[in-house]
Amino acid sequence: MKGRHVYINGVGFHPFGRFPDKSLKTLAATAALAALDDAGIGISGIDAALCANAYSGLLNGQESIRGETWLRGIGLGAIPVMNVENACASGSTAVHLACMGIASGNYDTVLVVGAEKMFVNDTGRTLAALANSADTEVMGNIGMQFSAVDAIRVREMMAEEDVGAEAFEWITMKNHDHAVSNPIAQYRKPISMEQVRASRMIADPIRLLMCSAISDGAAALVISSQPGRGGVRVRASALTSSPWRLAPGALPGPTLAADKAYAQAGIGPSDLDLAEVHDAVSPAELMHYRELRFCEDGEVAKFVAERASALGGRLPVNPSGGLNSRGHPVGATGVAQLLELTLQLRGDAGARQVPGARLALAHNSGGWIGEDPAVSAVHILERTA
Amino acid sequence: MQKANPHLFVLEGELPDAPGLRGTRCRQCAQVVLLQVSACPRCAGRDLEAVCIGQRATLGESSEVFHSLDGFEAPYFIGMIKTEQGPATFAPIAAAPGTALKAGMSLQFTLLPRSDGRVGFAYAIAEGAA
Repeated sequence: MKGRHVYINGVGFHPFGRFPDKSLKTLAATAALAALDDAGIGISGIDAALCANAYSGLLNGQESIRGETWLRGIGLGAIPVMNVENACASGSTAVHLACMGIASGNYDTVLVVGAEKMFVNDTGRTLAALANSADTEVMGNIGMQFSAVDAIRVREMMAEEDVGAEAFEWITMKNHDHAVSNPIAQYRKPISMEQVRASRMIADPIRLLMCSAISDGAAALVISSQPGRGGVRVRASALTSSPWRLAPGALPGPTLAADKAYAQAGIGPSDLDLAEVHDAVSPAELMHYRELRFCEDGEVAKFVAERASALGGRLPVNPSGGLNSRGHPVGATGVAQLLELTLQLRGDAGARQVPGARLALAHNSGGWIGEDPAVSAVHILERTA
Repeated sequence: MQKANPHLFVLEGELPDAPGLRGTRCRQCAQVVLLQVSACPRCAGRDLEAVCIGQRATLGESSEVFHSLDGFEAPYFIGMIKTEQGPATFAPIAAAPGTALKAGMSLQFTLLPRSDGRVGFAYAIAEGAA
């Protein structure tokens, strides 16, 4: 990454789940204050704030100035507050912009808050809001829902890799196991492969327990030009929009973002100690092993058979439980991924700690356009202390 | 006749060779893309013409969906289709529940009456397709 060094010095969250008695403002404020406390600074130490949210306009009736309404309640005013919407990648996009602001020297310390309130007592309304994260001219009114988008992408992978229902059930069980000790997670009970198999089909081959949940929740980071506890440095912050894949063999958006991030950090995938990836449905995690170059094409089944992505494996993936088990309050998700990596690199992840973790990657996708996610974001963090 | 997807497909008479999907052809490099665009993504050319594409297509992967949405009563099928002109997109597949759809099947564009009185579209398995 060009410019000044960038560090994550504080993390905070409001647990993910269903909170009918709490407003979006309350969720966001809880996470923001926790991050400031963790960084050991007050609001006077913040130069700017970036607030990530996708559906507050459609679901909560606050279309504009979302962040300003959230942060006024913690006494923050006068400084720049910027609102970021980039579908499910809103949070990582806000982090990207914060990193650019600090690396360029324009800001020294930035607060990033991602929050979403998706339970509105009407699942159909929430699903319709999610469907807005595609080009509605193309994908509106055709019965398309994101579980089906993911189902089709998973089937495309199945045509090239020797994976099927058993691998999907295992990956779901693995991420639920990971979430058991995560205090932010929506689902903290282990489940069996049999339970996954018995859950109802949503969009073949995706079953209910493979889907990320509808969630309320918030996560926040304090990002700075000076190192804090653990010296967790942002080594790469890469963002791509959906590419026009006009030539045969053109790379998908997540791979373009990952390659950019590896180049920025000057490392390769084999240097990573852990990763958080965008498992909007749990089998999608397997696709990301290829797209992010954790394994070669044709080797996903081997990667699964080795249990490489479980805690204790050679590259633990989604130690937080991922979107599938931690939950997926859309605007908060990308921030929560980096929160998890920061805890891991500081050695603060408790029972799910990856021993000696030094380099970690987060991958966050948002929406759909053409043949790819509309947004792909990849960050790489390093413990420097 | 009101269309459920006015920007996505065209009816007979709207463009030559309609009905089908709305596309754009670059007169400079011949690139064809889905939807109306303002510049060619291949050569940046702005001399473009509206064309109808996707009268016939090939099925990629597909999924049977078990949650009703947009007036589509579950179970129903959605698939990735590749038009004969090149562009690929998601589309509803007109097939009876439980049909064993396979990648590579030949498809044809078809209009689909909607319960709200509008007209939509889907891709049907072409006659004789395996």
